[in-house]
Amino acid sequence: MKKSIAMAAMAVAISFGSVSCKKKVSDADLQTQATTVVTANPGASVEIKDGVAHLSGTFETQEAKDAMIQQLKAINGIKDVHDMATVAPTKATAPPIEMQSAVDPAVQQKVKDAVKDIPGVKVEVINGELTLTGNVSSSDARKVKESVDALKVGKVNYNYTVK
Amino acid sequence: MSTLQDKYSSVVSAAQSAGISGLQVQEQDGILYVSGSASNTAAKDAVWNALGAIDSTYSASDINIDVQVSGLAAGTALTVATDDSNLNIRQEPSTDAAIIGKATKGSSITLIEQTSDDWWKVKTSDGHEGYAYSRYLRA
Repeated sequence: MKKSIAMAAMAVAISFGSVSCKKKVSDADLQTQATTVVTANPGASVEIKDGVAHLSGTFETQEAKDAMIQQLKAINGIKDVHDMATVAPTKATAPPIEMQSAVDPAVQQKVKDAVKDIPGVKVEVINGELTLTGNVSSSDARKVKESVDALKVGKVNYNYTVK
Repeated sequence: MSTLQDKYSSVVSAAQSAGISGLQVQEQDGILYVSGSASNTAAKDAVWNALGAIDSTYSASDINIDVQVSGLAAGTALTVATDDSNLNIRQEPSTDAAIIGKATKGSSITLIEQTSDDWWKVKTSDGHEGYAYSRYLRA
């Protein structure tokens, strides 16, 4: 009799246990679901511990972070979201600087204008690179560079002797 | 911070303290590009002076400074800053164009418009209108 009571109690315990197990989604399952959500933001990651999502990493905006926390909370079985993530807008990568060709006639004219009043400077295009030779004073060299830099023709070889 | 940005950090900080607007510092193909707009010639000069402190011969090929005086209103008084000669006022924005007037060194002329970085349309005190090379004008 005692034995059967114990058995029954055990059965009840097991059945309760299995019921509660069925209700509770495992951390592994939650991890899979949460990871799927979080991969939308490559800078962030999530870890599930005892049904709590620990969100870390960086987000572009507070709104993006808040939205993700809401999505995680919406997953059935996640009890809470522990927010350890930060907001750090990444610098927008600047578009590449547009280069002009050193042999472009319009560029050549501008170079000619730039060195017109500066005797002793010789301008050539060597291997596609604007190359300046001759003798100039430091103040004239500055004037030339001020004008030539504005043209943005890539590498310029200031090979003159500056006195 | 990259080596180039490190090397020319004083140029960039000079641009910042001179109030260069739209300041951009970008590295591309081994050249540091520093660009922006100056509200007057002194601000532009401050940036170039900073380069001169590092590179006294202004021969560096690994930095490109494109700081232009821009946004000047029509009617702004400009000072002719030639070395010693008179400033040519030309019919078109090119040294190939005919000279239609001259402005003496140190005199004041009036801006009509900043046609390009290099050429500004101006009006001399004796009423000649034409294009002058902006290098010789101070705002």
